[in-house]
Order: sequence, then C-alpha cells, then structure tokens
Amino acid sequence: MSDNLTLDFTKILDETDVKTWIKTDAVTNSFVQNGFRVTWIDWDSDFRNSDLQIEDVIIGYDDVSLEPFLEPGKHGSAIGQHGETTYWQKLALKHGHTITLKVFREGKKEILEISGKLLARRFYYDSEEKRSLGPGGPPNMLRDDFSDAWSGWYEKLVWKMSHILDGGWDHKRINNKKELQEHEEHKKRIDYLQERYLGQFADAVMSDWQKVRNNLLGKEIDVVDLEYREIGAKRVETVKQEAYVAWDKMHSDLEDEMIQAFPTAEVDNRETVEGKIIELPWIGPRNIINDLGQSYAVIGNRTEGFYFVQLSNSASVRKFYDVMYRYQAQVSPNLKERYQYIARITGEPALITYDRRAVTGLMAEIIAARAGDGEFFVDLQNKDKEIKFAGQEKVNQFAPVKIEKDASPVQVIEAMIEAVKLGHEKAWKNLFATWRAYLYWENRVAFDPSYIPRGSFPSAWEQSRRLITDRVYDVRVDKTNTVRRIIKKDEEVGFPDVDEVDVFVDHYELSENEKYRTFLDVNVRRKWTLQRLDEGPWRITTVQVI
Amino acid sequence: MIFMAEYAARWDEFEDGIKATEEKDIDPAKDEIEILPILTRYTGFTNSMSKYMDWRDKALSNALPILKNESTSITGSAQKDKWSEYFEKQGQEALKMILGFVPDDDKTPKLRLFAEAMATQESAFFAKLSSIPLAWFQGQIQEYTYQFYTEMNSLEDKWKNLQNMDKAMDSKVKDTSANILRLFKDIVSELVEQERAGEQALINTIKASKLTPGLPLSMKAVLTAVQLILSKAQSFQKSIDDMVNIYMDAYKREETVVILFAQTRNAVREFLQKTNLDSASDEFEETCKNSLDMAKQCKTKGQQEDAVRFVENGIKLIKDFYEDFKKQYEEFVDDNRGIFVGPVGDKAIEEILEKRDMEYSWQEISRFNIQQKLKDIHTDAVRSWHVDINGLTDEQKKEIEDFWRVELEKLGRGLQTIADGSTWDRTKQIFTRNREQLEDKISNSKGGLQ
Repeated sequence: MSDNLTLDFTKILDETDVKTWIKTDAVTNSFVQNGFRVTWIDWDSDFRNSDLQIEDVIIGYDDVSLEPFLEPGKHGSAIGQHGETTYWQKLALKHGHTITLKVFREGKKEILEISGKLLARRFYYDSEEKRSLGPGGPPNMLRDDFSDAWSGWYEKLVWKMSHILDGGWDHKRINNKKELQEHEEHKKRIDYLQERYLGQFADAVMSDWQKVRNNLLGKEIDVVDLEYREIGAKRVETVKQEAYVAWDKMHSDLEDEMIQAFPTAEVDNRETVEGKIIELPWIGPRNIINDLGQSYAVIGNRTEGFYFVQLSNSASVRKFYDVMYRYQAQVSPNLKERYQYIARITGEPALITYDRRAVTGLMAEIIAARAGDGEFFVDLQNKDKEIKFAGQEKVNQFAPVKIEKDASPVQVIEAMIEAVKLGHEKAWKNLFATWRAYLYWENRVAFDPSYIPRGSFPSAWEQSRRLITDRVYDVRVDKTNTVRRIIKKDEEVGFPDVDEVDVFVDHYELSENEKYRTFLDVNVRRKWTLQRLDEGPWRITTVQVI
Repeated sequence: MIFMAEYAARWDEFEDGIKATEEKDIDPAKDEIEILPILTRYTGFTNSMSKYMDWRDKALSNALPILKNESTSITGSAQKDKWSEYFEKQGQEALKMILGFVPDDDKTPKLRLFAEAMATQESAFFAKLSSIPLAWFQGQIQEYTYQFYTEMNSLEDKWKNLQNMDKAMDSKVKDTSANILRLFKDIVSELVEQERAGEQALINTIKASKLTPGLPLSMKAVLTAVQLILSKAQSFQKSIDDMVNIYMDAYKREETVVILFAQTRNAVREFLQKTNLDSASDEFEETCKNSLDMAKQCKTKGQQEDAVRFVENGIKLIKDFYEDFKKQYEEFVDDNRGIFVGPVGDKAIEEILEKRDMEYSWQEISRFNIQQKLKDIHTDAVRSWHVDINGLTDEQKKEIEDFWRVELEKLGRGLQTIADGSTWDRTKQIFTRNREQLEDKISNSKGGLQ
C-alpha cells in the first residue's frame, strides 16, 4: 500500500476541491418555487446522512439566496451544477465545512433547513491500488464477468435511477413495467457487487437499487370496489330477468281488463273499449311525432287503426323517463330507443298528423312500459310508493355524480373518475374548463377565454370508458401539489386571477397475484392539471384519457 | 394608419397602446444603436397588428353568412352551436396570432405584456360574440316558421278529414231521411189501400148478406185487411226503428267529429299560446336588445363600437327571417280563422253540422206528419167501415158491431202506438236537441288566440 493511501482505500488530493456531491437541475419557470431541484445524491455525499430528498428544490444555503444563479448563463456554479467546486473555492471553503441548505419541498408549508458537509473529492482504490468506485472496489475499469466496466455500468445505472426517482411517475410518463424489467436485469451485478466488493459502496448501490425497484413496483392494494364494472352486461342481465318476470306478472294481473289492441275500436264506438288495457307493439323514434307543439307516440296503422300516447305534459310519461334515466345511471347507459307500452284506453278520440296525413285514433295512457330489448321495465301504477324499475332492488345503488361549487381539486378529479366509471358523459364533460391559461413562451402565460375543448371530448371519453372497463380496475387520487397563481387579476386588461394545481392519480391493474397494482404507461394519464378563475370552481384544463 | 375596414374602431386603441408601450420600453439613457432594435420590433409589431385588423374584419364579416343560412331542418340550437364554435375558433386564432407577433427575445418586455393583454382581450371579444344570441334566434324563428307552415298544411288536412268524416255521415243521414220519407209515403199509401180494401170487403160482405138473407157473414176478407194493416204497420215500425238507429249511429259519428274539432281547436289555442306573433316579436326585441347589451359589455370602447356595429348588421339579417315568420304566421291565422282560430264561423258550423240540410230533412219528415196520417187512416177506417147494416139479422148486426168495437179498436191501438211511440221522440231529439248541443259544443269551443 502506498503512503498516500489511507486504510480505508480512500485518498483526498485537494482539501479545497469540495462539493455537496448532489446533482441538481435549475428550475426557472415554476409559479411556486424556482431554485435547483435535486436529481441525485451521490452515494458518498454527506447529504446522504440528512433528510435531503430527490425532487427537493434548493433555494439557498446559510444566508445566501440562489436566485442570482437562476439568471440565464449563471446556473453553472450553483449547488449541484458542474462548476459548483469553483464557487466554494472562491469562498475558500474546505473539506468538512458544514452548510445548511434552504429547501422547498412539495407539500411542506415551511422552507426546510438541511445541513451537510462539503466534502473534498475522494479517490477510491482496491487492495491492488486500482482506481475504484468505492473503497476496496470494484475497480473502475474492471468488467469481471460482465459486458462492460464497472464505472460505465454504474454511471448508466445512476442516470437511470435518477431519471426514475426524479419525478419519473409524475413528470416523465415512464412505462413502469418496462423500466422494472430493465431494472431487474441489474440484479445479478448488484448481487455480485455485494458478494465480491462488500462495503459502503456496495451497500449504497444495493439500497438505491432497492429503492428504485420499490418505486417501479408501485403500490399494491387487495380490494377494489368493482361494482361499477357491473354497469353493463352483468347488471343488465340481472335486471333483465326481473323485467321479464314483472312483464309477465303484469299481464296475468291485468288479464281481466286486457283486450286485443288491434284492430282498434272505431272512434265512434270508443265507449266500448274505454278503460280497457292493451299491450301495444314495440315502437321506435319514428313513432314519436310532434303535433301542434305536443309530442305523441303514434302506434298502429291505417288498416287496423291507431292509438296515441301523449308524451308531453303527461305525468306518467314523465315518471317513465325519470325511472329510465335512473336505470341508465345505475344499470347501463346503453338502452336502445325501443319502447313497448301497456296502456289504458282513455275513451278520448284524437286527430293527429302522422306520416303527413291526418289520422284518427284513440288516446291511451301508459300504465307500464319497457325499453331496449326488454331489459328495462317499469310499472307506473303505484301512486304511493317511489316508482322503481324492475330489478332495481337487486342491484346496488350508485350515488349520482355530484360536485359542489367549492369542491377541491381532489374532489373534482374524484368526480371525474366516478363519472367515467358510471358512464356519465355529461357530468364528466362539465368538469372541464371552458377557458385556457397556458405557458406559451418560457414562463409567460397566455389566457384564452374563448377556448372550449369541444373536439377532444368524444375520443377521450370513449378511450377512458374502454380503459376503465378493461385494463384499469381503479383510479385513485395519489397526491396534489401546491396551488400556484399563474395569472394575477388585472381588471384593466381583463385578466382574472388564475390558479393552477396538479393532481396525480394512480391507475390500478390486476397483478399476477390477483391483487391490484399501480402502473403507468403512455395509455393512461397520471397528471391532471386544474385551474380556477377568481377563486371560482376548479376545472380540469386538458381533455385527456383517464 | 387609417383603416377602411367595417370594424375598425379597435385600431385606434391598438395604435395608442403600442405607442404608450414603446415609450416604456425605450430607456432614454440608452443610445440610438441600442434603441434601434427596439424601434424595429415595435414597427414590426404595429404592422402585424394591422394585418390582424384585416383578419379580424374578415373574421367578423365571415360570421354574418351564418345568419343567412336557410333550411327547413335548421334549429335554434344548431345555429347557436355553429355560431359559438365559429367565434371560439376565431378567439383562439386571434390569441395565437397576436402572441405570435411578439419577438422571441427580452428586448421589449413591455411589448410582450401589452401583446398578452391585447391577445386576451381579443380572445374575450370573440368569446363575448360567441354568446350573442343572434344565430340562435335566426334558427329558432326559422323553426317556428317551418312549424307554422307544416301545421298549416296539417290543419288543412285535418279539416278536410273532419269534413270527409262528416260528409260520409251527412249523406247517410240524407239517404236515411229520403228513405224514411219514401217509406212513409209507401206505407201510408199501402195502409190507405188496405183500409179501402177492408172497407170494400165489408161492403161486399154486407151486401151479399142482404141479398141472401140468412147467409152467414163472410168476415174473413175484412179481418185479413185489418191484419194486413196491422202487420204493415208493425214492419213499418221496425223499418223506422232501423232507420232511427242509423240516425243514432250517424249522430255518434257527428258527435265524434265535433269532439275532434273542438279538441283540435283547443290544441291550436295551446299551440298559439306558446308561440305567437307577440311572443316571437318579444323574442326578437329581446334578442336584439340582449345582443346589443352584450356587445356593449366588451372590454374596451373600440371593441364595444365594433361589436355594436357587427350586431346591428346581424340584426338586419335576422329581421328578414322574423318578417318571414310574421308572414307565415299571418297566413296560418288567416287560413284557419273561423275554423281553428278565433270563434267558429257560421260556415264552419254549417260544414260540420250541415244545419240547413238537416233542418230541411227534419222539416220534410215533420211536415209529412206521419202521426196525423196514421191517425187519419184510423179515423177514416172508423168512418168508412161504419157501413149501413140495416137489413141484417140481429145476430149479424151484433157480429158487425163487435167487429167495429174489437177490430177497429185494435187497429186504432196499433196505429196509435206507432204514431205516438218513442221512436219519434228519439228522432226528434236527434234532429233538434242533440244537434243543438253539438252546435253549442262547437260554438263554445275555444280556438287559437281565444
């Protein structure tokens, strides 16, 4: 062992060649906090022993603000930048000097103070005095049985780990499964490192690798409420069976009062059928007409006669549609526009224009109806109790998607997720902003009050629905960041106060162990930006797939 | 710079604003070489803004053709969407355009702020125009116009339909009345004939008995005559009943026609309550007022002036559609007046109830006075069948007297039953009270604008 080499295989050549040994990126266009964002902390930085975290934003140290370093062309000598050493050298600070960083951390109200030592550049060797990544190895240029040298491998690994831990999920839209697969490929070398070069460096690398692995694995939950998934086929099937039973029962209950609907009685002989009950054939939109401002269902033909059911200004029809909308919210939004009525002949004749010709017929009032392919049935006769569709009690009820005016950004996103789950397109649409404030040049924001995201709605909705009923089992709000005011009110110009915030959501898919695990890839959107004008309701600014 | 554009009031504000901003961006302490690039940027920006003004003028002018769209399938909501989408697009384009005029450097920071303010104001200007209800009204009034046009044709068809229903029934009534009269005449002549045959048979019988005293009276022929009269009277009764049933059926049908007519009048009334000239006129006035008010809500005076001018031009266009509606509406009202609009006219009542024809029919029937004629037949029989029975044996006299007492009374009763039966009351009711009720129903029904 040479004279310069310490017992721990570490050599310091210049006590003034000091750094924090952290890496940063300059943040210059944030509406919350500019500064230098920590993207990595070297394994041998003293700040590894502190609370400093990747993604923290350093805004100063001791009593010094880093603001001047944010000016264009001045970043280089700031903390974590390539010329950091020069700065400390100018201040004649030496190895072991303690500084206290002023740190902004998302979610913390106060600026944190985190202390650590500036450390001089250390050179590491192995027992054979070969330059190494850590004390005792591995040697920089040695490959062992791997394809590339340790130094090259480690550099790439650090770059990747930094990439993932520095907002990989939130800002870079990584594909976590793909990244995890790649990350796992390093395991063999990490294990080798542990076996062959056991020491501080190997421990740090293992710890970092594990941390990144956990990050890429995402969160796991055991239970997801999948009731919403039953909207559609499964719930329809349950309700359909009940609807058919109820339809048959209604026929047998009313058997004595029922007559054959066609041919109809002559309008002059209407008293002979007044009060009788008829089952009308299925009708579609073509049977719905408007006559002198009133809408009617016209059922029948010129040979066998007509029945008319007044749809506008009819209490029973209103009830029918109320219950049908409830069905669409609770069971399935897809219901074919086909209707079949059981109706009571009122005894009133009517003259209506149908198919461009005046036709006479008998008025009838619906007492029960079904729709679609018969999966929806409602008996409208019960005047005392709440009218329910057949099978309503057999399916769990969903609360309607509602949003208060003062709902928080998280509540808005939760409502958006709920609307997608339940298939409430209108409620979903209403959660998007009818304006746009966006960065158009460096940190300048343009405010566009005429913006309405009309065109993007259909595909975003369809894809969201497809995802939530297929690969995505649940979407949950993970976190939200600090509300930032991106435009200040200026009445003279016409600018409102515009606040903005991001809400991050987790998407869960079914994992191999039958649990639910978060994932991220290009098909889903984790980050949702919301804005509000003059502290009004929060609305989502970008129409995107869930 | 002077703009010849239609909507150029905003230009002065741009010019003044640019000038004022330029002063802020130029530091008097700087020398000419430093100031020159700033001045160049301002000149460039001014030129760009003048191009924007041309574009803006076109954007506004190109919106007006939306207000000329004419179609039977047009709707207020579709027009509103078209209008809004157009202006939203222009707003976004304006914002992008103005922000794009600012040089991508920091030499003119105030100009950037100014451009951002102008861009937002212009976007807001188009956003405001997007919510102006001119296109909605233009679509809505066309919807109304088309609705009145189609309803006018529908009502014409309905009226024809009612008339046809009524005509079929009226001719049935007329036929029935003619049949009844014919039947009356036939039956009366047959009854008279039988009555005369009976009288002759009686005379012959008595004459034979007188010529051959002791010869038993041969009453068979006389009794047959009585039987025949009674049987004719009964079949007559049945025919009358059948015919009265036809009257009843016809009445029921007529009653249905009246119900349908009254119902249609009521539907027209409700229809016109919702949409009428007054309401459309109010809507037009309100649309114009709201549009002008909204134009005046634009951020700057120049925008307000341009918006007001634009709205005024738009109003001129939608007025034509309003006038078309007025014409259509008036045609609708005129066409249906006295039928479905206003009080029912005599002509419509006449066409539905055929009052004159019915009155004539009833007069014919009642003038014929079948009751009296039947009574006369009986009276005649009583009188003419009381032939001289002197010369007959007491026994034969008694037989004849019994015949007079029993058979003539039977005949009288039989004819009396027909003459005074409920059939006549029913017929009379159908032709008088029931028809009066129908007429009342028609007259009391409320039609459009009542």
